[in-house]
Amino acid sequence: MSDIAILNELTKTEWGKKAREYIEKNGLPNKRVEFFHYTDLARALSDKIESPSGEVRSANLSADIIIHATQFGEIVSGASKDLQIDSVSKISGYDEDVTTILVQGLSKSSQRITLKAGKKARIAIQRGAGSRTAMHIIVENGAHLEIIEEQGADAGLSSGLMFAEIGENASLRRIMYADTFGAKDIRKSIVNVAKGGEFAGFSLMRGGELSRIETDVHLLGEGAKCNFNAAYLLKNAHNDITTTVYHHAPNCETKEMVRGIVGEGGNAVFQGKIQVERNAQKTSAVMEHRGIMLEDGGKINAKPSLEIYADDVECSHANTIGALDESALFYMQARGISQKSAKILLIKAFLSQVFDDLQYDDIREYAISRIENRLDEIVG
Amino acid sequence: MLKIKDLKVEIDGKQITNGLSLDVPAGEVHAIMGPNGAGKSTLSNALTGHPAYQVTGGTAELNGKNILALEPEERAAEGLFLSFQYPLEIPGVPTLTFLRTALNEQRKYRGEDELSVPQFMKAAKEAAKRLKIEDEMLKRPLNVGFSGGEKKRMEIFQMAMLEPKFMILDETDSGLDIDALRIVSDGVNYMRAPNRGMLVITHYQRLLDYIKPDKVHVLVDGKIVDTGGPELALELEKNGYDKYEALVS
Repeated sequence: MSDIAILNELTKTEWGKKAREYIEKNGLPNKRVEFFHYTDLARALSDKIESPSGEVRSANLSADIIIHATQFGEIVSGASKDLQIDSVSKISGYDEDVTTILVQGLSKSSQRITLKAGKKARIAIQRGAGSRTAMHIIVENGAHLEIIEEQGADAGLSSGLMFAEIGENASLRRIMYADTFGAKDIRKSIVNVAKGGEFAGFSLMRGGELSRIETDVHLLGEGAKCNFNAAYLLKNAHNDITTTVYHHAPNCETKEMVRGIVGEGGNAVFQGKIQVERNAQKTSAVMEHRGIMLEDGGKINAKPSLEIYADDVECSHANTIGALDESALFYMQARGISQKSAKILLIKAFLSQVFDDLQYDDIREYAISRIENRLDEIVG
Repeated sequence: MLKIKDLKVEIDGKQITNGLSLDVPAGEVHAIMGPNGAGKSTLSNALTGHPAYQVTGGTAELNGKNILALEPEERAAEGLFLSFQYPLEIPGVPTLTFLRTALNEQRKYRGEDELSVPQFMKAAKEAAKRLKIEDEMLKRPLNVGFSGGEKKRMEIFQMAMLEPKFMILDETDSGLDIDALRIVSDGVNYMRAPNRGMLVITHYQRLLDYIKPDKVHVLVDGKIVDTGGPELALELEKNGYDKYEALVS
């Protein structure tokens, strides 16, 4: 077992040791494990892990606090009296699984960020190549936090663990842009939402040699909401969006929209699950995944699922995979728009809808401009 | 202006157009009438370059240039415009973004400068007013949620903005009530000019009361079988296509 490359990457901490013991005993999950069927961690992490390289191409959106996550640790700049940042040894309070054990085992230290009750703030996190973070985010009652995460890497392994606790009537909005082309990236987020609170996630993924983004959302209190949106643009890259939303309380709401395009050598995975517990009556949950295959030689594996134990709920899911609408393309060409521009217009329109719920203009524009940059490259 | 000689077109290996020849000089409006399945839409699609329509023979020249060798967008930039029988809805693409992209890509092809946003908006507002298109319609994604009549008006609006040299109207009258028909026809007539040609494809004579053709051609079984003045349309309306169909079968 000691020939598994990832073992050399684990820290010498107590939780690093725990991860080592876990992996030595159980191995890493491979494709025979259903949850990892389309993203074989054992295979991806057994080979040599390259040294990190690559930089974040940040849009430098304004923020109260900026955290630069590097391969050597985190550098925090800016200050806010409403935000408290503490370095802690490790974070706890969530249910562990193989991904949390692994990702925590890769991090040297953890940050705990608390936004005080009733306050508002924005944090920017710039994640460089080889960054391995663990963050505990606490949004106190009635507070509203926004996190903008930008990531850039073209080699090496980066990882992130985020455990967020959203208080009553509080909200966390997380915008994530990951450009990990050529690199490996594993992330796990666990989000607990109390009564009347809201989690809104917006992600734009370019994928990488391995990119696995796991998100577990627990709607714990009545009226809690989850609004999860993600777009992927893949060519010669792998990206796995795996999301589980647990409805533990009545009158909660989930809206999920994942859309993406895949070109040659792209490998997209979407595993979306909504689990409605017995007492989560009056749940409203909608999940949609739509994928477009741009050309031959790409793959999309989508597995939406609903597990419902309550009897008075409204849940639905939709899943489609197709090609660009040929007649729409022809119509646009007949008006003088080149095929490439027509494709870009159609794809941009298709993906932009993922960001329709972003209320702040600068962030929506940011997301859309990132889509545009990618498209010029991906569409032939 | 538009010269079609012995055109043969197939779709899915089935020959629809069987050696069609047609000559529309600049400044003239020609109508093509014919029964269902005669190949009217095949003609418009083949001329515009729809990939499903395979040209297997003949030529089509616009101002001396062989358009059959060009991509659809190049044909458009050369001045060819098809008003679609069934205009498409393009969700998420705002009407004006679409149109400005089209106009500027055409201008780029022709080596002309791009139109600035104010210049473009001024032209758009004028054309919209003429065609009774409300601002609300322009703000929406292209054709999304439009009625059949609104879509046809939007086609004519696009035509006005793109200022093509040659226009093909494919059953533009279908789905129009009498008021919409008048607005659309006024919009089309506004475009008539000595240096422009037009081909009006229709089932019914009604449209030709509003858009007066110089010539009427009868298309049956993929060929022009008769040509005459505007009176031919009236005769067809009265007697139908039976005598021509008997001829070819």
